[in-house]
Amino acid sequence: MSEATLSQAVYRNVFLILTLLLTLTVGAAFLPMGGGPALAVAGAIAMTKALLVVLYFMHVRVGSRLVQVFIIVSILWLLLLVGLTMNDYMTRTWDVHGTTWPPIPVQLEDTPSSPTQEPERTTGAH
Amino acid sequence: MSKIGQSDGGHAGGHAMLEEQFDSMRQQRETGVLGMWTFLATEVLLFGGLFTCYGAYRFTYPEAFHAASGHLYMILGTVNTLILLGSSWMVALAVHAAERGEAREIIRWLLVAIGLGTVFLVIKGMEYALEYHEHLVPWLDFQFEEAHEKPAKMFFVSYFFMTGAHALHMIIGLSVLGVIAWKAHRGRYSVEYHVPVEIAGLYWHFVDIVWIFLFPALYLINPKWP
Repeated sequence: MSEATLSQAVYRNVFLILTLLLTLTVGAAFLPMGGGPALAVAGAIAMTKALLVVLYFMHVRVGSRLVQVFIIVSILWLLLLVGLTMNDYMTRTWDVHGTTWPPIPVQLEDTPSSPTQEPERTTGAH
Repeated sequence: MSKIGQSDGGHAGGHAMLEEQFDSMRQQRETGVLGMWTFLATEVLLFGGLFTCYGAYRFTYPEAFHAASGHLYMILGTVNTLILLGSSWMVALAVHAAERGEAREIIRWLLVAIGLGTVFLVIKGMEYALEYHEHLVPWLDFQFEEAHEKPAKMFFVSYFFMTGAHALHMIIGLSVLGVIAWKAHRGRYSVEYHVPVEIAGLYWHFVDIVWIFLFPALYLINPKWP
């Protein structure tokens, strides 16, 4: 059987790099970055860790081309799911109906808000 | 009519474990591996849906998610991440042993991986118990500072669904690894035939990857030393 294999040393090194990345991501979480940069750093480190696991532990680096295509396609599906949903949520302040979105968190509980009380949340494009 | 399957040399000196629909052990192995990746693609969408829900609420209620995340036990989450990464390493070594036909090595590494996975679940269970006592479980006497109560509840709904779905996958994965170790003990695997070991390994690594994303998403928004 022509199965390309990796050596035990490769697996050990990958584990050590994963441990290092874990330390980095925990350390970075304590840095006084804003929400955006912190999310970007944590996301980038998580994707690097996942990539290492996929390429080495899951043998994709030495695996068949067809498996690589399947993985890329499943990532595209995921991007469609997350990307298009977030595209909706992140642009909902363009309010064509005159109601407010996102709802103001502190008003969730008590006061029943009417759209006319929060003119600053609507762009009034109509 | 041509009989494609029978014209192939694969069956002639065929392996006992070669199923009749395949021409060769190599084709059987590649089909099994590709089938597992196809299943994992559906799993990506399952967890992708949970992450999408989480992402939409985190974007809408950033302050509440910041406050709620600070209540998680970051140290326990970090230890669990390390344990899970270690178990993935052990499974990689088990698959490596399977490629060489070393049954005893398969069993040894799998048992270490099963041990680590069990420790992960025990720690996760301890976390759940602590969170229950701190009134952080939605619908079970959930209490949170008033300004963020409803969206913080949504954070914990996400937290329990995501980590719960992950823990369920861990339990399934541990069972699969146990069966594989038992079959290795019975001498079922060889250099020519070990695709079940490989496929079980893929599943375990996938569960590891899910946690790699869950950990920063839930624990590292507002980490605190205990």
